[in-house]
Amino acid sequence: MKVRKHIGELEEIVMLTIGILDEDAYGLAIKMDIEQRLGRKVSMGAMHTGLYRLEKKGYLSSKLGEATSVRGGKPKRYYRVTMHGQQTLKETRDDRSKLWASIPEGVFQIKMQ
Amino acid sequence: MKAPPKWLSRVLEWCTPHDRSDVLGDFEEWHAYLSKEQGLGRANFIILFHSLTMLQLKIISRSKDKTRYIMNGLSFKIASRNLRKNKLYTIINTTGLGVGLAACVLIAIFIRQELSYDTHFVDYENVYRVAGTLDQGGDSKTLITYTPYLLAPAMESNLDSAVLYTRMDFMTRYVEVGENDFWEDYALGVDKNFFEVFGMKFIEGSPEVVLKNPMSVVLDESTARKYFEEDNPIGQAIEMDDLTYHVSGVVADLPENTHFEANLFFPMASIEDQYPYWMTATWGGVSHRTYFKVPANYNVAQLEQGLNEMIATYSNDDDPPGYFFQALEDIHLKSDLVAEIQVNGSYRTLYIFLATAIVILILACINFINLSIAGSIERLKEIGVKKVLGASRKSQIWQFQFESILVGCIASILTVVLVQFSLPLFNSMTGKELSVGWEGLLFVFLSCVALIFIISLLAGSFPALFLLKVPTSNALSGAITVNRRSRLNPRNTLVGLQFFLSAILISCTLVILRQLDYMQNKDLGIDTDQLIVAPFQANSFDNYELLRKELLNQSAVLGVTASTNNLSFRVGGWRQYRKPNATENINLPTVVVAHDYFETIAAEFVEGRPFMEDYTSDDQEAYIINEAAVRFLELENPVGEKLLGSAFTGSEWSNKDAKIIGVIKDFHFSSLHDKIRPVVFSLSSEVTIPLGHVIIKISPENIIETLELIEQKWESVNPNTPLRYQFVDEAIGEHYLQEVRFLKVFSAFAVLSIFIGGLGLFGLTAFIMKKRVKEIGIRKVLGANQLGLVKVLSVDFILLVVIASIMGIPVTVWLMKNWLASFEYRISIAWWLFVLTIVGAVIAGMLSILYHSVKVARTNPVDSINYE
Repeated sequence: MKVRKHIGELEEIVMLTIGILDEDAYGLAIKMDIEQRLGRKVSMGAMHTGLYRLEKKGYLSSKLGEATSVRGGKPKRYYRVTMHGQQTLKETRDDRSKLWASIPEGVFQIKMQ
Repeated sequence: MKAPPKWLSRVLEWCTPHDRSDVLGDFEEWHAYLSKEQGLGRANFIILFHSLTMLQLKIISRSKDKTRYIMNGLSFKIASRNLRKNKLYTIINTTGLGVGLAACVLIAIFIRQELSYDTHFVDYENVYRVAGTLDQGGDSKTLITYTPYLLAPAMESNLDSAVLYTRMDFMTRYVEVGENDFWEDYALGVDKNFFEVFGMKFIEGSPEVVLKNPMSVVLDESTARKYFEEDNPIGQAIEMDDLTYHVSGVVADLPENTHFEANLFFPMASIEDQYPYWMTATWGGVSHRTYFKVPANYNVAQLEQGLNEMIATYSNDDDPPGYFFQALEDIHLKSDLVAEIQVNGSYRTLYIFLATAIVILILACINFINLSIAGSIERLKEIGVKKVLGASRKSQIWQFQFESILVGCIASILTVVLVQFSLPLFNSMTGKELSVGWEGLLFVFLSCVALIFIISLLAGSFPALFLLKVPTSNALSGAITVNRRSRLNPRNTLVGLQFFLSAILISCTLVILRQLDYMQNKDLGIDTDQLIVAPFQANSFDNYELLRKELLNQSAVLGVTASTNNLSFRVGGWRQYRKPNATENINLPTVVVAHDYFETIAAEFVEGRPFMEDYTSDDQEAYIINEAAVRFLELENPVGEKLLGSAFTGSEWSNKDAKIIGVIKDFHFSSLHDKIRPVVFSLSSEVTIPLGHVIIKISPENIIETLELIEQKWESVNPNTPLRYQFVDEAIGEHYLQEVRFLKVFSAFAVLSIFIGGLGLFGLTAFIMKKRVKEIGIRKVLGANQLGLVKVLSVDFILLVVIASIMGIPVTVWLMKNWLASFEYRISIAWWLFVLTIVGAVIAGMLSILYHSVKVARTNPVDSINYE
């Protein structure tokens, strides 16, 4: 049996967004991107807590960028999804697909593409 | 680009973890973006909201600091080991604190109860009592709770009819229910809207209608059960003084914290025809209490003014009585008028108890602090080692405080246990029925913990701050470079303060004890031993002469007489008198008596003679007055002087101009609370008010048999009403109940204070002796004897105790002067009370010290010098 890695819905979204943003994935950018792309509100606290937890679990790695004058001289913290994190994302997605595929024809009224 | 305002930055910094400047950067960048898009105000608001959401991260990331857990676990381990190692210290500390706190809690419960009086009535804040002045002759008017019978109806019809009135007549009624009969001491005659004024809890019936019918009666729950057991009381008939009433309602028992007691309520209308004429038809006398309830937000002052204007028109007196209102909730603690229904409490007692509680708390805290300091000196090495290992100053202070808090928590548990178990004892001392439920105990526990937390911070920080100042190298070698004298000083001061406070409490107790003893044993001027007084029912008075003859035939009965006045009550019966050449009448209390009155109560004559049966004209032509009346009337040769007075049957007045035939030595009616008043004694006749009390003097032997005999004779003469009697000395003793209770509580706390102080001294000397073991060993080797050593070890402390006690004297004198000032007859504060106090304090101090000093003095010098 596989060891289940706990990963929440918001955490999944955050990790995927980091992937989307690639080189430019820092706190505020992630938040804005989620809000823009998915049309949902994310509070600064919830997001940073999520980032903190994911990093502790080893799904993310981060490094501080150069200090710039734009943000009152404070650096940006850039995140990347680690190999471990990517694996977990994939597992989550595979699990879902498996479940979707197992739903018999005609049970759901909506069509999957 | 604009930065966020300063206050917002501050909030942001506070809300985000300290090591996350990148988050702050995110916020700043976002703020800049938002203020451009949506305006500064809205940006500020959004940022503020989001900054608060950061708190979660701050808390999570902080608790990952694992060293904190380790340190806390260590604190607990070290603390519990220390407490176990110093068992004596732990026991003394927890006991002292627990006992002290328990005393405080008891006092707090008591005070809460006193403050809650009458607040259980619905809308109690709108209920008032009418009290008035009564001109009783003499210089000042008496303030009295009684009002004329006519007052309430007159107020109702002339003033505001929206106000609900009720009169109250407290009576003793003889009740027959079927086969059974009962004396009801707390029967209350009321007006029909009594239950609308006093909102009580009804079990059966409704307050508006239960008393509409004059022959209805409302019982309280326990009386209803007493009469009818399990049967439904509603509609049942009871016979009360030969009138038949039907039960129309049942109310819950009145709680303890009510300023009056009543178990049976009946409409006064049913007995109105039994009231004397002067009561129901004239404004001359006072007889009933008047209460009323106003609508919410009512102008009571205006009603008061209206009442007094109304009285001015009713009264033909040129100096009409003045009336004032007392709020119901104030009666118990603030009212101290003549004829209060019960013994009221007073704010003064509450303040005294509060002060005592605070003193005891201080004593317990001083113990706590003192013992913490003493105990910590032994632990210099521990501190040194910890310092070397790099423990922070903060963690060291925390260690001491943690230990204090641990001791405090144990003490809190002890407090709860003590309160629970000592409450019955406390109740018997105060005459109250206080109780605490488990929520109450939980509350007590939590507030004790909270209090102890504060004390602990204080107590724990003393030794910590002191010890942390010692240089590490000295601490490790165990040598304290601070010289001994100055090290002891703060502790000496605290022990001195303890004994100072204890000495005050003890000497106050002695003064109170002496005053009480004085009041109870002062010669009243009459002999109250084996004197019994029995109330007479109005319709049975004609039998008095018959009864008297029957009783006097018994050898055990030494005297029988009767009077209008119960010997254990204040004098009443005010009549007007005039000296022959004077124009103005003077009001004087008058006691109508039967023959043998002065002989039976053993009152002494200054001059003249008593009323005698041989002189048949005595009932018309003779007065006897007391010495106070001689002074009041300014008579030089009273015997033979004429006095123009009046007699009153209860409905008709007649003149009685008579000669003074004797002067009686002043004696006290009631208790020493009341001053001796001028009194006129008049012999009973057809024109005087019927005698209401039979007074019987019996022989001191076989009292029980004599009483049975009297009962038999009484019933043969008076078959309808059973005999009820009271010993006069016991009845007078009841007047001192409040003082007796006060003394009991106060002395208990004084003893506690000495106990706590002694406990502290005991613990403290234990530590100090340990420090001096070597010194004693060397002294012994050099040839000191044991007695001399004990002296050396004790003299400092004894001196301290004596000085502290002496300093308490002026405080005691000042406090007790104030307390005694409220007594009409009082003792002076004797100097030997203070000698006694000092001796007592020294003995208590010696007892605490002696054990240790003897133990140390007896140790073998070989062991003690080897010590370590």
